Amino acid sequence: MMDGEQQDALAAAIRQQAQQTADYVDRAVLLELADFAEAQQRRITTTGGEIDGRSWDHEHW
Amino acid sequence: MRTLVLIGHPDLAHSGTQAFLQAAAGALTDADEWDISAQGVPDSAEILRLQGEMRRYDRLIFQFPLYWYSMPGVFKQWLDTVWTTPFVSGRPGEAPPLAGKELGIVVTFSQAQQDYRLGGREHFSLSELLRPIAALGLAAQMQLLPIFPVAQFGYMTERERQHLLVTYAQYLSLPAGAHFADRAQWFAAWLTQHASAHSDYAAWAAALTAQQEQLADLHDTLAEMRREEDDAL
Repeated sequence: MMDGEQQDALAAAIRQQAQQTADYVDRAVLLELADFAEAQQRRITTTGGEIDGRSWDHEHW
Repeated sequence: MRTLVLIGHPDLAHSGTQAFLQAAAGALTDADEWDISAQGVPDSAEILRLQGEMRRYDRLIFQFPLYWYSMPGVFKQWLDTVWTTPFVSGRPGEAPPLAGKELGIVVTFSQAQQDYRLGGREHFSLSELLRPIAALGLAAQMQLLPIFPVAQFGYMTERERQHLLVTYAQYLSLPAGAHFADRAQWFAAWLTQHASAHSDYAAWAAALTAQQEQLADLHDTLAEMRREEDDAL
């Protein structure tokens, strides 16, 4: 399992590869993929945060 | 999923927008395309052949530039000729030939997208203006896909065009009502198909899939917690 920092590294690596890619379509897909990977990580962080918040809700202990 | 894009443009050869979309579809999808403005006026045998061809697809896309708040005449004339009453409504006692298939609309225009809304410069939304197409699709018992608008292609930045290229390809190929997970799968499939181009692509596809599974697990956990909280009330 990758943590948030590693996932951000994934997006960064994809974006770096996109800059080195000459093919127009491939570069477009890689840039969209990098954005998607970041969005995916944000969702994981947000959903995980909500689970933590509910777990620590003293009204439900 | 077999997709057919029906392109009706009075001057397709000189449309940069259409050329861009055609290149995107060719590079990233298995969709077929028809330039209906090049088909001329089909005779009855040709009409039957075209109808038979269209029945082979799961998804039909009407793609055209907006001309006076509607599809261009070349597209309407083709529809009036090829989409005969039996083809749309079916023969008595039979389901319409296109029943259950999907109908999408890709519409390009030179105004800003926010002009097409209540109170906007054009006053009417695209959903209102394109209702006749929706009525036709519903008469054929097709499932309507959300409209895919392409506004002001000529003014788009390079990054906006790159975004358009990918979202258009996904519009042609992803299932109706596609979710975030479907897009994850689309990107992972692209990486896998191109794994020979770069040593990291296979690993990135695996990471993307693993992250999506993690997200699904988190959603399951959250749904369970919500159920327990609801039960406790």
